[in-house]
Amino acid sequence: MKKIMTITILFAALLTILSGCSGGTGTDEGRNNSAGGSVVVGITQDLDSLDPHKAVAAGTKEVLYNIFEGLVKPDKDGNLVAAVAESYEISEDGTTYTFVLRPNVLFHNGKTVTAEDVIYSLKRSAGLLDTSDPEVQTVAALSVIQTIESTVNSEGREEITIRLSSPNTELLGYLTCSIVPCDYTKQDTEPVGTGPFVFSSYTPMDSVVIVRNDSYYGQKAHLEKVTFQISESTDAAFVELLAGNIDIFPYLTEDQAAQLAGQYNIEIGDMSLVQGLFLNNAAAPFDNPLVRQAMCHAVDRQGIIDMISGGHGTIIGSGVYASFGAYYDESLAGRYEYDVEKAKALLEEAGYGDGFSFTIVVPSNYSYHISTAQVIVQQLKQVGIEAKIQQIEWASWLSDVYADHNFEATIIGLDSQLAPSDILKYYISGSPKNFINYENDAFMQTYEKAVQTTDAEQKKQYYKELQRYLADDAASVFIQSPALLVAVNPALDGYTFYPVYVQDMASVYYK
Amino acid sequence: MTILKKFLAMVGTVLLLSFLSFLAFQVIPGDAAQVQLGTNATPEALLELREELGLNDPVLVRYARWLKGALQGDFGVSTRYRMPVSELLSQMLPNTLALALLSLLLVLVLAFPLGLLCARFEGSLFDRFFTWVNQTVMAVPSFFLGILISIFLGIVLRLFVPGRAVSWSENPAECLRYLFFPALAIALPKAAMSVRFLKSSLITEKNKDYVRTARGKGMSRTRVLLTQMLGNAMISVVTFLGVVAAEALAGSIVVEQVFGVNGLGRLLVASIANRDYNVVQAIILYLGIAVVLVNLLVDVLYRRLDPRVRRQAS
Repeated sequence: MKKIMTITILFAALLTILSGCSGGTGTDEGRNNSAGGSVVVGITQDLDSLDPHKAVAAGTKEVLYNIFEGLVKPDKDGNLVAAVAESYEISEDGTTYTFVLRPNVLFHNGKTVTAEDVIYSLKRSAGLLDTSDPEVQTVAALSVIQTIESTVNSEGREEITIRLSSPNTELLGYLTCSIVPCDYTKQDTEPVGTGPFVFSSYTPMDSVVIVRNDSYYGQKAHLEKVTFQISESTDAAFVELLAGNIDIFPYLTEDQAAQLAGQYNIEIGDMSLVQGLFLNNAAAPFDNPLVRQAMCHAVDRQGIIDMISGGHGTIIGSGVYASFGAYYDESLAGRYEYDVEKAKALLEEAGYGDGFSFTIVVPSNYSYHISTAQVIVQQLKQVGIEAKIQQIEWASWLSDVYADHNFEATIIGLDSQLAPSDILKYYISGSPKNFINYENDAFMQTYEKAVQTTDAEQKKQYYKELQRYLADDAASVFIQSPALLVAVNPALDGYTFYPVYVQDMASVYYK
Repeated sequence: MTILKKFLAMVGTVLLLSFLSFLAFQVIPGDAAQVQLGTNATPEALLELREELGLNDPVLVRYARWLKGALQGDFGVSTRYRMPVSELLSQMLPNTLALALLSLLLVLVLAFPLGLLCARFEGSLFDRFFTWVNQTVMAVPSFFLGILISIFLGIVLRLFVPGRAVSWSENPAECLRYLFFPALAIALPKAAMSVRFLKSSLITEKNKDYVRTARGKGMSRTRVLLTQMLGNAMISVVTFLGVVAAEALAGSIVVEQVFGVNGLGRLLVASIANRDYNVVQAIILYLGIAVVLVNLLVDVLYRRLDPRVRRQAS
């Protein structure tokens, strides 16, 4: 009896020690508090602007999502739900949008949101203000806006009516554009929005701190404070994760995820990007469709996914990713199966029977794309194509590849607003975004029809047709929508993935 | 006269440096407007932003404008961070300076006792052991040492949290505690080189006549070493320490990245990538002045140490 007692006590003591160990990750200064607490989120890119209308980088938008809102905002299923607007109506012909503003929405500086603020914000983004700031990112899709007016409806609510110069049933996806106060000039340094978190401080290269917005109109955030800590690289962030210094980190590699498996929960989502080996359709030998098709057959997409992300990721066969739901044509993923013989035959037919050599330019700040390039180089050797990898700085990539189209091939991920016309804007002839020089008149005509049609079923058909054009022409080698591996402190719950690239901190809470 | 000449040479060096770094930006592709507008850039927007940032003017006009501002203490506004460059730098400078001074202090504290002991007991077990340690440490680059320190002292022994740097303005004591580890990574290889330098200079002195005379007069080995030889050996050591100091002041760029220290080195790398000219120019100017001042200090020390230089000058 005594013996059993001793064993029980020893066992209990052992359990206490063990549980003490497993809970001992880093500093917990008052974090164990379910309605509140603070978290540190690791990010690897410094912010390019605090002004939501000036930010371009996906790495900035994912942070600002917590501070700003548009008339509508995306939910986790890819629907656009009312935010600063309470409800909306789109006229049947697709030329008039009417929004009823939610009453008493407060900006973080205490001012009430008025129709004037909304009109200012939309005009600023559309480039329709009289005095323009060249740094504001003009949203080309908003240029169809002809007039924006405010009225007061029978119930005394403010209404915004947007009239378009031509029918466009997808404008809603762009009206996630942040609403900012109209007479506020310090958006660059002390941003003010309406979101569930309030901007607190920003230290260049170090951190962005946001705190809970206690006067938020909707479901208030759980956490009191979120620090986005800027790490030098994924590797530097990984060291901090091992030390228990970061609670949430969204850009793990497969190897890192495996090493952290005991210490963190690993959540797997989708990056919502079109990752591709983009080919300059105007430069030899990629001006020949047969060569591009051969490239598509020569790249083993599943091999890439297995090799660099442990099998996580969704193969795509055209320029749209799966989060677009009904607009996405999944049958195209198998359009070009991995087939070395077929690739060789196509090259033979194109007059490149002996293969050729070319350079893949990759921005050096994206290790994921660099790894992808390394795998592709090996795969292309099988069909006699010699590819070289050239790593360049992001600034050089923007200048040489994106602006000057001076490249043969590049690997990059393309992101998008929640509108199918946005992810396909990269293939419009004459657009500065068409860096691969894709030209197809039939594509252009269908694109216009797709944007303008008010028939939902017709619209889906048009978008699927557009994806088929890109696949048939082998516009580029579309690879995958990569998986997003996120390390989350096991004490936290509620981390949510969205079909756009954001880190929503309002849903996160301590268990 | 020589002082004036030296001063003019210094100013010339710094001016030339600032001009060359300005020119370097003309050669590399991409500019601030392009980085700011990113993948949303249209040719019209680019043109407009370049106009606003003054990037459309000829190089010489822009350089003159920058120089005029800099001479009046106005370094312009960072295109990336939208704040005055001087404000941005004043946030980072204390961290880099503290790191530099700390690592320099570590170099001195480690190098002198070890160098003297190794020279005094040349060939002993002690000397052979440290010669071996020195060779090893010298062969390891600072950034790699930094990674090793992060892993062993940070993650295994938990002496500090890797990647977290406390800024000087937040808490000076904590800041120094966190800076100790990057300073160690910078100092160890440099200290190892200094030990070797000091030892070999002392050994060269050992066979000189004055040492034999002093020994003949009955002075102890240790006393000769400290009172006679060290002063002479210092002449070459000071040159080397000058280089070490200049490098430390210039911000150990890679080590700052490894430890996430918010210093000038990290800011410089980020600003080059962002084509943030004003910030880069200001940091280069600081680096140039720091190096030139250290060289001046070395010159002054020479005069104190070597009477021949003093006589030549006068």
